[in-house]
Amino acid sequence: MLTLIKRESQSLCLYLALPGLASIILAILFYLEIARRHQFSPYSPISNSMYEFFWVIAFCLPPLCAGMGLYQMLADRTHKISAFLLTHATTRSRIFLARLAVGLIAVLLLSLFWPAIFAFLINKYPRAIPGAMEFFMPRLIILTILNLTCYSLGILLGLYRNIRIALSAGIFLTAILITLIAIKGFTLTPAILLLLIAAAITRTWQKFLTRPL
Amino acid sequence: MTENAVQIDNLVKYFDGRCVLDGIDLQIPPGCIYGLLGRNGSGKTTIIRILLGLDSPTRGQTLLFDRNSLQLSAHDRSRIGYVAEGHHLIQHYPVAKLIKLARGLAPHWDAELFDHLINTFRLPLDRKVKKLSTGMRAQLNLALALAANPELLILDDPTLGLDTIVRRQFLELAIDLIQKQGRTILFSSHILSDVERIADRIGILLAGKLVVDCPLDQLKNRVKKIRLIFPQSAPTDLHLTDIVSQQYDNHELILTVANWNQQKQNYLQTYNPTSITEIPLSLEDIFIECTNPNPATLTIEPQGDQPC
Repeated sequence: MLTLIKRESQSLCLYLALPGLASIILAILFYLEIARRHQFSPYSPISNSMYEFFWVIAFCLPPLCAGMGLYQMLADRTHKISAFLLTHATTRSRIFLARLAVGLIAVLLLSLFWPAIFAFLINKYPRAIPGAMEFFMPRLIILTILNLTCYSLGILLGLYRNIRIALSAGIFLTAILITLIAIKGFTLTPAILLLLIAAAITRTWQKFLTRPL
Repeated sequence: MTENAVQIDNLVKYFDGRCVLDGIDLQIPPGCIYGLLGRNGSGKTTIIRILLGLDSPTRGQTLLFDRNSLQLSAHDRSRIGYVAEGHHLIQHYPVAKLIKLARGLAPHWDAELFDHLINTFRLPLDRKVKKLSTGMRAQLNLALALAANPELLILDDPTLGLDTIVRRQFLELAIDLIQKQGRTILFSSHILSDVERIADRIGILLAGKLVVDCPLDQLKNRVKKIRLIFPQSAPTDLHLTDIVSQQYDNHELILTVANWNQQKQNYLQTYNPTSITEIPLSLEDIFIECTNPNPATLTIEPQGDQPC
């Protein structure tokens, strides 16, 4: 199992390299911007910048997570990775579990990076962003669940034979979820998203166990 | 009761409404070297893929070591080695990385044997798999399969695209493996001289059915090609069963008959031919006769329960 997890991590590193780097650059820019504003007017609220950054993240992360799921499954099919692995001492369930575990951890790392950055800034400049913790944290949690939902839909759609349909459906579903958030705000019930995650993962697992490799 | 290495029960497979396998039954006991033959598209690879759990049957079941192919555990899979037609390795991996991955997955990795094979084949470890020649890919695939120390080795047309030297080297390795006690090999190939050299039991697939399943020696004894010369025109209305093919040429009649026995020979004598001679058949000749597009009839009935 460890070998499989290691292989999946290495494979996903290629995909995560660019967004990871982009996140770090964005976080540094974010920090510099807040610091700059704070330097000029330490007592005026600078939450507008945080909102802007928050919305950038909210629009960028879900498609990235859906893409990660799609990438895992499409790369598997293109390179016949599971077909090769299955001719060794492993099972479909183990291959899937390793892939899912690595994917979920990557989504969590990518998602929780931002609450960490926000928490750091809010701690550093508490007066500059009054009530920020109460405002951002629940939204970032919902965003994390949304990212997990998009990832789950991504791995499910990645199993479909037609790459164009898989990509189009991925973009469409992610757009719907983001639009829902944009319209309704972050009042979307997490339970609905969690239900979606469970349904998508169960269906992917069932499909992965039975599809020809 | 000893477990069969391979067991196939009433296997049926449809692809897009087309029947590819039509009720295949087969048992391969441990220690047997089974040559599975058939023309392109006859279903050999499909059987192997279903056996390995890479594809599912439409009906029926396949068992490896008495365990359903769809429910093989990691331990069961560690007892199986597979060399695929076209050598489906992870193409974008460097050879060294692929070896590391296979080693990490194999609980009984034979490092000594693997190093010996790698040195013999002189495989470049730093090159990507897709940059290797077909021969090198076959060698890498075989080395990975053998190093896992399998009890059952499944070779799906492994010598496809290999030159004579590499093919010979490949076969010798397979023979080495056979000499290790209790190893079972399921071998599918279009190079029948290879199969004839190592197999002790033969199965021939024709139009989705297993029309031949018997020991190689028995097959050679049971399928005969006979030349009959008659004083007048050769008779056209032979009431003989199991005629696979017949060719007339005025006084001459050449017959290929399945399930040949003394009774059939006696029956042919009643037509008073001036001579009856047997034309020796190689496995390739038998295969060509058996897979004739319009065989009059063909089912080689095994004589008694003869294991490998």
